[in-house]
Amino acid sequence: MIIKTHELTRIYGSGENRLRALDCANLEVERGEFVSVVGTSGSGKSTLLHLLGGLDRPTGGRVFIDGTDIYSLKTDELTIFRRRFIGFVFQSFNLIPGLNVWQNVTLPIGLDNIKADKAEIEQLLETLGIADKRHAMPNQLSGGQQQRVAIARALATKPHIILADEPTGNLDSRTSLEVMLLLGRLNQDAAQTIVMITHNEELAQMTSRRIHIEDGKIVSDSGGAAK
Amino acid sequence: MSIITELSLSQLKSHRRRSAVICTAAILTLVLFMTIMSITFALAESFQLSLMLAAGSRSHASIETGNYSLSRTELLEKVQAYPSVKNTFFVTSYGAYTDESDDNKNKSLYGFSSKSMLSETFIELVGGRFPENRNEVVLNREIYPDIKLGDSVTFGFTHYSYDTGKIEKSDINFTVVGLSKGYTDRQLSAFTIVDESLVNELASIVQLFINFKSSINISEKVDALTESLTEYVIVDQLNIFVNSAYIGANATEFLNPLSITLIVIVVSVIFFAAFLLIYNIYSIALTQDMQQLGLLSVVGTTYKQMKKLTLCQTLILFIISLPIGILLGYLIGWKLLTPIFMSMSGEILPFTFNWWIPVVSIILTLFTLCFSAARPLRRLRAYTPIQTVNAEPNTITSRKVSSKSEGNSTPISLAAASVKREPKKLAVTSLSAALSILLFIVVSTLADTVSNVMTIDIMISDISVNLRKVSKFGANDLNNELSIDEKLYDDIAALDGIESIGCVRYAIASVKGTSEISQRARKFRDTYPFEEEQLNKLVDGNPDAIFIGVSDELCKHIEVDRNEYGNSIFYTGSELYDGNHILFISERLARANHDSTTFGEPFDFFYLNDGDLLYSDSLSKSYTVINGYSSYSRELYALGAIFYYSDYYPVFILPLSEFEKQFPDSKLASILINSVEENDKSLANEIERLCESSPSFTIESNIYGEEYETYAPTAHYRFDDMAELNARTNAIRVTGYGLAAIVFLIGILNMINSALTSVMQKRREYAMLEAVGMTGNQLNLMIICENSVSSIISAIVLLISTPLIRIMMDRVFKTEVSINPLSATIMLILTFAAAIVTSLISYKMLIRSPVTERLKVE
Repeated sequence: MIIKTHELTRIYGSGENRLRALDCANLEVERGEFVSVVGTSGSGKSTLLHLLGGLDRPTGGRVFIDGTDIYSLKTDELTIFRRRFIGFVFQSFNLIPGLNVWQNVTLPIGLDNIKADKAEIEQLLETLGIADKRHAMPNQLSGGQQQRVAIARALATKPHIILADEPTGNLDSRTSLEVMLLLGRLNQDAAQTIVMITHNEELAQMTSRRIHIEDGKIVSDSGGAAK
Repeated sequence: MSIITELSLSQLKSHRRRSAVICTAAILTLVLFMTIMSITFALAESFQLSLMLAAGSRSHASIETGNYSLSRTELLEKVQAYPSVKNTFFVTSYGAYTDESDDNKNKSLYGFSSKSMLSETFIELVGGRFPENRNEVVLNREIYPDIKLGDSVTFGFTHYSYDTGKIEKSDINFTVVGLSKGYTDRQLSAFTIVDESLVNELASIVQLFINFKSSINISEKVDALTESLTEYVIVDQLNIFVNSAYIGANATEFLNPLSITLIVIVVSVIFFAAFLLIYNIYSIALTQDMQQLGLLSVVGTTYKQMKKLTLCQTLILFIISLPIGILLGYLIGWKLLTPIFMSMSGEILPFTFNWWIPVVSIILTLFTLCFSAARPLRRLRAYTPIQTVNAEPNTITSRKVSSKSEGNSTPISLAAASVKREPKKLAVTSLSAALSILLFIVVSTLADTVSNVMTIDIMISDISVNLRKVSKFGANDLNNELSIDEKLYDDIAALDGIESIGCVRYAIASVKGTSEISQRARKFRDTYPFEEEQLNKLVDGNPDAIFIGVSDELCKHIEVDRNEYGNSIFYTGSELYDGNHILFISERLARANHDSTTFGEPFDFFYLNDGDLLYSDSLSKSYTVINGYSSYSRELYALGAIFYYSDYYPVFILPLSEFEKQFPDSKLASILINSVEENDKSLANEIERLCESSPSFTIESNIYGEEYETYAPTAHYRFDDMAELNARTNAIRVTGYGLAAIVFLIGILNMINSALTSVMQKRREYAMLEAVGMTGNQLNLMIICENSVSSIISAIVLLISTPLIRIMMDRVFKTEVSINPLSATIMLILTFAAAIVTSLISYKMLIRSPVTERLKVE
C-alpha cells in the first residue's frame, strides 16, 4: 500500500465560520493505481490532495506514504520527503518563470544538491515530447507544453506518487486528452501511482479507480474500499 | 552553477527595479559606514600622534636603568634579547639652568645614545651633525636663533653631588656641532650623547627606551619584561613609563564606557536606518514573490534553502554595489568629510588612509544587508505551502480582521482600511522617515551646542590691548616694571567707533602669611634654591601678592567651583562688589580639580580658605576671601603667567572700583574695547597704529641666550576668535549634515519605494474601484490619504522623541540644549511630498493600460 489515510480531517475557521472541508476520510491506494478524485466545487477534493502531499496540515488523522507517517515529520523533513517522493502537477502549471524548461524540470534534483543524470532527463523530455523545448522559457510555451514540463518536473525525482490537481483545467479538450493519455501511459508503462483531481467525468473514466467526494466525505469508491 | 544561484539570478533579472533600489541602499550604507570609520580612524591616529607630540616621544615605554643591579650595557642586552622587543635606546635628562631666575622647564639638556632617537622624539637635524662626545651639543634653532655651528655655550647645572652629598652647581662648556628643529608641544632645547662620565658627574637618571614589535597592549608587555628582570631589581618601586599615546597601550582605558557608547550609538543609528529600508524592500518583495516562494516550497525547497536564496541574491547585489560604494565612500567619507571634521580642532595633524576602513565598512554593510534581508522571510514559517501558492498578493501578509462597519465607503475610509491591513509596513516606513529626521535634529542641535560651549572661551570685549612679549617663545610674563602707557588708553578712548572702554589694572603688594606658610616655605627653600627672594618673604610672613582690578563683567568669568559633571561654575554672587570681599585665585584648587598627575601633588605656598581674612600693610582694610581658581576669559589670559607664578605669588582680584581705592597708582595691564560696529576694520587699524607708536618696554632677560626682553602693547580681536570658532563649527556642521543627508536619503528612498510598490501591488484593487465607478480624483485623494498616514506617524514619533533627545543631550553636554524645530518641519514636509508625488505619478503611469487589463490576475 503506497498511500493510506486514517480519519483524515481538515477544518477551516472557527466558531460560526467553522467549515469541515474533509471529514474523517479513510483511504488506501495501492502501488501502481491511477486514481481520480471527483466532486463538485467545494467538496473537499483539493483539500484531500493537499493533505496527501503534505502541503497542508490536517486538523486530525494521519497520512502514511509508503509506510511513513508524514505528519509526524518536522517541517523541513516533510519538505524533503515531498521533494523526493511526491510529484505535483497543478492546474495552473506553476513553472518558475525565470528558469527554462531544463532548469524547471531538474529543480527538485538540484535542491537535493545532486547533479541530474543528463541522459535520464533527456529521455524524460523525449517521452513527454518537449525535448526540443529544453531551453525555452515558460512564457514561450503553449499551455499543453507547460503542463508537460510540469509533469516532467514531477517525475524527475522518480517519486512514489504523482498528485495532480486538475491537470487539464486550463487546457483545451484536445490538449487535455493528450495529457490524460500521457498520464495513462506513465501509469501503465512505469507503474506510476497517480492520484488526480478532476471535475470532468469523462476524464475520470480514463482512470482505473474513481473516488467520489461530497461535503468532505468519501461517498463512493469504484476501485477500493471507501471507509 | 547551483540551483540556488540560478534561481537567485533569475529573480534578480525579473525584478530589476527592486534590485536597483537594494543596490542604492547598499551603496548609501557603505558610504555611511566608510565615513564613520574614516573619521574614527583619523581621530584615533591624530589623537595618538597629538599625545605623542605632547609626551615628546613615540617610543613605547621606558624603564629606569638605576632600578637594576645590572650595568647599563648588560641591561640593554637583556632587554634587547627579550622576544617582543624590537629596539632600545638610552636617554637621559642632564638638566640645565642659565641663571637663578631661569625657568628650567624648557631648558633641559638631554642625552641620546643614538641618532635613531631623534625620530623617536620628533626632532630633525637642520644643520651640522649628531654629537660624538660629551663636549658636543646640538641646539634647538628656534630657541637659540642666534647660535651658530662651532659656537661655544655654557650650561649651568644644579645637581646632587655624590662626592659632597649636597646640591651643587656646575658650569660645563659645550661646542655646538648641530642645530635641530622639534615638532613636539614641548621643545627640547639641546641634546648631547649619553656619556657615563657626564651621567655620573651630574647624577643623572638614565632611562632605557623600548620599542616592541607591536604597539598593542604595551602595558602587559612591559609588565612581562620587568617580571623577567625581577632578580636584578634593587629598589622598592620600579620607575616604568608606558607611552599611553598608543591607543593599544592600555585598551581598557581607551575603551571607556563613553567612547564605546558613542561608537555603538553611531554604528547603531546607521545600521538601523539601513535596516529599515532594506527590511521594507524585502518585506514587500516577500509579498510580491509569495506565490513563487510557495511553489518552491511545494517542489521541496526547505526554509533554509529559501533563506540561502535570499542571501545569495543579496550577496550578488552587494558585490555589484561594492565598487561604487567603496569609491564613493572613499571620496565622500575620506577625502571630503574627514578633513573637514578634523579641521574643527583647529589644527590638522596628518592622518593616513587605513585599509581597515573599507574592510570594517564592508563587513558592517554586508551584515546589515543580510540581516535585514533575511528577517521578513520568517513570516513564511507561519503559512503552509499551499496557502502561499494559492494566495493573492497582499492577502497572505495582511491582517485578517473582520470589520463591523456598515457606513458608506469614501476615499478616506478606503484609505484607512488599506492602511490597517498592513500595520508592520506602515510602522517600518514611518520609523525610517522619523529616524532620518531625528538625525538631522541631533546634528543641528549638536553644532549649535558645541559652538555655545566653545564661546565660553571667547573674549567678552571686541578688542583687548595687552602687553605681550615680542618674541616667538616665552610666556607673557608680567614684570612689576611693565605697564601699558596711560596715554594709549586716553588716545584709544578718543577714537571714533568706540562704544565702551574699560581696563584691567594690577599692583604688587605684600600680604600677611601664617606660621604654617612660613614653615612650608622654609622647608622648600632649604632644598630648592629657586625664587629665593620671594621664598624669603614667605618665610618672613610677608610675601608679595599680585592684586588685579577688573570690571564687574570680568569677575563673572572667574571660576569658583565645579558641578557634579566637572563643569565650571562662575562667580555670580554680589558680595564681591560690597567692598569687603576679595577673590583669591588658588592654583592648588585648580590643580586639585584637574588631573593632578601632570603637575604632581596640589601645592600652594600661600593658601587661604573661603571666609578667611586677608591682612596687608598695603591695604587700608582687611578683606574676606572668596576662593576662585581660574578664569577662562581671554582678557585675563594675557595675565596667565601670573597664575603660573602663583606657587610663589598669590593672586587676588577686586572689582575695579574697589581696587582703585586701594591702589590709586596701579599699573595698566589691559585695555578692553567694545566697538560700535562689529569687525570695524578702520578702528582696528587706528588701534594698531596707536599701539605701534605707544612705548614698548625692554627689560633684562631671564632667558639664557637673551640679554633683554621686549614687551609691546598688542591688540587682539574677538572677530579673529569668532572666525576661528565659525570655521570649526562649520566643520562640524558640514560633516554632520553630510552624514545626516545620507541617512535622510535612505529615509526618502524608503518612502518612495514603499509608495511606488504600494501602487503597483494595488493595481488590481485600483482597477476594481475604477470598474465600480471611482473617479480619478477620488482615487488620487485615496492615495494621498494612504501616504499621509506614515508622515503623520513620523510627526508623532518626532514630537515624542525630540524632548527625550533634548534631555539626553543636556546630560551629555552638561549644558542647556535648545532644539530648532524648523529643520525637522522641513524634512517632514519633504518626505511627505516625496511619498505623495511618487504615488500620484506612478498611478498616473498605471492607468495608461485599460481597466480590463489591470483586472486580470497575474
